[in-house]
Amino acid sequence: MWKKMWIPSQLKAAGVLGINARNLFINQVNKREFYPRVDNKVLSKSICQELNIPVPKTYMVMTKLVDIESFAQTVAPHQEFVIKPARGAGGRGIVVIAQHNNSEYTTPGGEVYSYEALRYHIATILSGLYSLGGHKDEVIIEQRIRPHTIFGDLAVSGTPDIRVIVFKYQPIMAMLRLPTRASRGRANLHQGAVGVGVNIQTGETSGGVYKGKSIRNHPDTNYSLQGIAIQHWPLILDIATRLSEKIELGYLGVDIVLDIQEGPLVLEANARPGLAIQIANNSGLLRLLKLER
Amino acid sequence: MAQTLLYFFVAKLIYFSRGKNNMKEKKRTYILAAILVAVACTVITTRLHFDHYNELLPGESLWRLTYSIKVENAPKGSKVNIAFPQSTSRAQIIKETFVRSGWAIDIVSHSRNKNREATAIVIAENSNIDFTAQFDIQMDAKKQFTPEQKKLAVEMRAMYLSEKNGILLNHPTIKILAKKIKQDAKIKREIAEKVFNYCSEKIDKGDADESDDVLPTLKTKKGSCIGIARTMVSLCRVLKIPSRLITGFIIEPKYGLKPHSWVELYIEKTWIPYDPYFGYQEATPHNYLPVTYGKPDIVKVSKTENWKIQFFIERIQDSYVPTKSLMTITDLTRMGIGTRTILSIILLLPLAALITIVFRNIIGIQTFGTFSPCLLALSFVYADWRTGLLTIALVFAIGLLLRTLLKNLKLLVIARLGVMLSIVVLCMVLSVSILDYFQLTPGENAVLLPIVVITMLIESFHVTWEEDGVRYALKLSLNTLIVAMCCYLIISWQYLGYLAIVFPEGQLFIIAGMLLIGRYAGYRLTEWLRFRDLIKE
Repeated sequence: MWKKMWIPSQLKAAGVLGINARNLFINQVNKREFYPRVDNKVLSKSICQELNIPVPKTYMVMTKLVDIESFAQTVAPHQEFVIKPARGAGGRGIVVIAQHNNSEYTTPGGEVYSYEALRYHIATILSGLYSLGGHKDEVIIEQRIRPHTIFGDLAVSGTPDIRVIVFKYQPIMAMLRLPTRASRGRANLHQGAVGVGVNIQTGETSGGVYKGKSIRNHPDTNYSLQGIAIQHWPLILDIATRLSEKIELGYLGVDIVLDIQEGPLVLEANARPGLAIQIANNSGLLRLLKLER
Repeated sequence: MAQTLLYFFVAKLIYFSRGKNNMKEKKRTYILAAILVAVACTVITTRLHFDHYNELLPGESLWRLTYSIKVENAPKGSKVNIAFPQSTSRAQIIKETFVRSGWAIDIVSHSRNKNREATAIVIAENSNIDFTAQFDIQMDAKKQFTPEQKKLAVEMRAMYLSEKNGILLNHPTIKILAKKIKQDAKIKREIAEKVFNYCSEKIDKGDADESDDVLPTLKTKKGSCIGIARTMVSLCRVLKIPSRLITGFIIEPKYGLKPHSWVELYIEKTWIPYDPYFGYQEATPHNYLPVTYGKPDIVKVSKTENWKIQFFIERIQDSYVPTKSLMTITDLTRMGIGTRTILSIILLLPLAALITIVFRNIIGIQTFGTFSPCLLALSFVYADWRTGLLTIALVFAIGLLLRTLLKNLKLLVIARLGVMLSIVVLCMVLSVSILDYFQLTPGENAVLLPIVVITMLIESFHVTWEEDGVRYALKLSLNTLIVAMCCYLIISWQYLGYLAIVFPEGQLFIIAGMLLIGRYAGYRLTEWLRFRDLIKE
């Protein structure tokens, strides 16, 4: 009887994957040599392009401080763009610009950066402040994705994305991540985005998780998170599968956005996807992993 | 004991080697952990077996004996009697230092019948006395033992044959026993030998809890070192051999030093030492340091029971004699006090790291930086934790403020880090000076450790604040502090520091522990909370 009340046994019975188990298991299925394919977004993008998988257009990749000189020229023709650390994790260091006049750059949330401030931020990224391991980094300036209409009022000040967990080249679980005001437009659960569970077969949403708690409605707009059917779902699954086969990692998280015109685009892939997806789907990963113990 | 542990681990190995093929790493880790534990146990057992640190290296060595006397709420007029150690031909007291806090005592020195004593009188009502006396002793093991030759004056002779201070003469038990032991021996030396043999062989050696008095010792055939020594003195005095009880210290590296008592007999115009407890006849080892003759109390406080005395002994200078055996390399206690202090800091790091790892992987508390809590804890150990915490909090606050201002200069990251490091150094130095001004001196080693850690912490805090919000940054700071305090509570345990130096192989246990945690696949405690909604009824 006491064994039944022991929470870890209950968690195991519910099929929850804990972080220790995940880390040990990842060591088995993910080979270290393939990690740069996902840790470095520049590399990930070129892999996608090899497979004809659409990715946001790259306007520029900066590798050294002197490259900053050509920044203003490069972004002049584009009102919208995204500045991204190539080796960043968890959405850190990303700045989205919605409009600018070559001297003032405004984010979707209304924050204004001067040209100098933006240069400084780029220099900071290059120095490695946001990179995994603190090493020197590269900066990607890329196309900003306009969210698909199906998301409508759910996309608050940012672009939602879909994370698909792929195990041994098979998608096993998926989650829709919705930005909020709290996350400042970023689709990262850790920074305050909403995670919505998605049925892996049908692409239809169920409840969600926000700041660790289960919710049914978006915290900013109160719209229901139930029953949204994600467009191009079979294509999304196919993209995730093909990408994981090329990257050759056994446990992978693929982040895909839906652009209004171009459909599904791959943003990045992740070798250590988080575990909140289980809370979003109200279902554990263990059973799906068929782990040999 | 080592053998049983070895068998236990071999059994565990066999159990695990039955696992499936993909448990290769798990098996390897368990085997390695088992090997480390077995090695550690073996080394510890060998070390204890050879009682290595009871052997002193021959030659000169320098020691410091410390008395630490604490009295609480001493009434006015209460007397504190302190007996000081005496130089011998092989151990010289070369320096004496007294430190007393609170000016509520007056020291009246005098010496009578071979005791060097001081009496302190409490002059203010209800004072708390903290008195430390330090004696630097130079010992030379190579010097020959020369027993004290002295003509005994009549009164002195009478005194050494009298019944006082716990010596029993006029009791039938003693008289009968003395006669039985003496039998028909005529020469004093022979009689002495018989008494010595009786006391050292026929009476069981108990620890300090056993009786200090003659009758109970004889009745139960068991006594403390005082009890056995007093018994020998009583028997000798009954048999008309002048004798005296000596209480002093055996100078050797030891935690929790306690006084020891032995005996001197006046035979053929010479005072000859005997220790019936440890079995030394007619000579005591060079590291026996006498303190008082007659009464077995080194410190006595009148009019109150609220007092405590502790004794400490440590080697303060490297020996000049080259090492004898390979085992000596593993004896860290032989090194001078400066080296030992640094080593004990380093040796506590793995334990602090293990605690941090437990907090992270088993409890699931996220902190800034993987090992910054354990480095912070180490600096608390070598400062007083209150002043250490104060210094660190102060430096952190100033550093954070300046970091926020520095943001406006838009410096390159590496230059900014350099500036922060320099600011932290200045703040640390200033804090140490301020604390010293208010007479709250932190230890000098404390200042060195956290400088780099604090710089990185300030940087991490700032970035986290900007990226993840001030609430999360504060939460991580609190977590870091909690883990640091837990590390501190465990590693500040003095006895642990002592064990780390005496048994450096103990680190292998810690490594084995880390290996096992490295294969721990269970849920973290915080995950119990995090995933509770997923548990279905």
